[in-house]
Amino acid sequence: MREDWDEGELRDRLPLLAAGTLPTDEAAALRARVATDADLADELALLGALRSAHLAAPAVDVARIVAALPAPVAARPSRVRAGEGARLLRVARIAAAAAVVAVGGLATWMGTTRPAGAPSAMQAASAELRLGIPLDGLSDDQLDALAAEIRDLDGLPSEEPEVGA
Amino acid sequence: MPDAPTAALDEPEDRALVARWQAGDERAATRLVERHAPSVARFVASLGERDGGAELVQDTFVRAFGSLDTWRGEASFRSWLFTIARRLVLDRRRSASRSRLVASLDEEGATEVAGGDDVLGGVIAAESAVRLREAVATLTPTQREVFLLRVVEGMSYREIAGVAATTEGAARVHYHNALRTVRDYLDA
Repeated sequence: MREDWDEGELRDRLPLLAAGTLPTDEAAALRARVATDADLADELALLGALRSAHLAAPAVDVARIVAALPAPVAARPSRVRAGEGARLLRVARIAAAAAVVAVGGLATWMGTTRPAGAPSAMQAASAELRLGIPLDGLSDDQLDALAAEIRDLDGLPSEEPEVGA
Repeated sequence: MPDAPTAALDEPEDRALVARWQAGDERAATRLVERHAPSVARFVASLGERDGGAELVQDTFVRAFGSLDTWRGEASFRSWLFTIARRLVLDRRRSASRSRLVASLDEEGATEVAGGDDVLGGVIAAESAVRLREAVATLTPTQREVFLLRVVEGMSYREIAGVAATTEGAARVHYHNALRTVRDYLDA
């Protein structure tokens, strides 16, 4: 710890001495210096009085503040698990819907002659291809996009194909 | 000039309490609030926020605990709280766009720290305290903020710079100019 402070450094430390935020050894050294200098002693007394005059604090309701705080992360695992569970359920539902559409589309395509311009079989094949992607690796946005695509699929041709035409 | 590392005095216990809270010990939160809420309330009042000061203090802690994962310990927990409180005060002023009331700490609701049995001495001390507060009230808002952080909270210039969004050098200049102004007021 250095004690060779110049005048400016000494005065700069006086408010910290008054507030009691200096390390103990530094505070002791500074007090020793102040004891030998009337100007410094006066300034320290003024700072102490200014501090005392401003120490009063509006009342705080600690219990109310604590009650409003979020729970620590370690104390809320159930919420995390619930979130993961919801996501898994969502993935499973999308996968099931996609599978139904794909199987239905393929069955229709295999059992009939595909009329020119019928989009549903292609859409079903597309959905099937998408099923090759691990759904649990998709982001929420990707899942939403996939769900929207599935919702837009009719799954079956809107008209019965013309057999043996 | 290198500034005294004042924050180091409270940091170890604050860090330990934060770690305990993050591990699930909710009592650590109570301890942290007990340790810092009075000074945050005092700081908020020193910024001139009287109405809703309690809500600002509460919001400061809610915001802080909600984002403790982002606190890397580069600033002390206390100065981090002060920084959040200051931002909340500025946000409120911007959004409310209303004139603020200058807080008077000797009004109802204040908690007196100093006490004494000597009635006459108490009256004299109270008058002196009023005059000292008047002297500080003559400072510019920035000077007052820096001055009170230095004198009342005992912050280093580095901490003050972080809280008040200024530089260490500017904080030092503000402090010394403020002290000179206060002296002049009291000597007049």
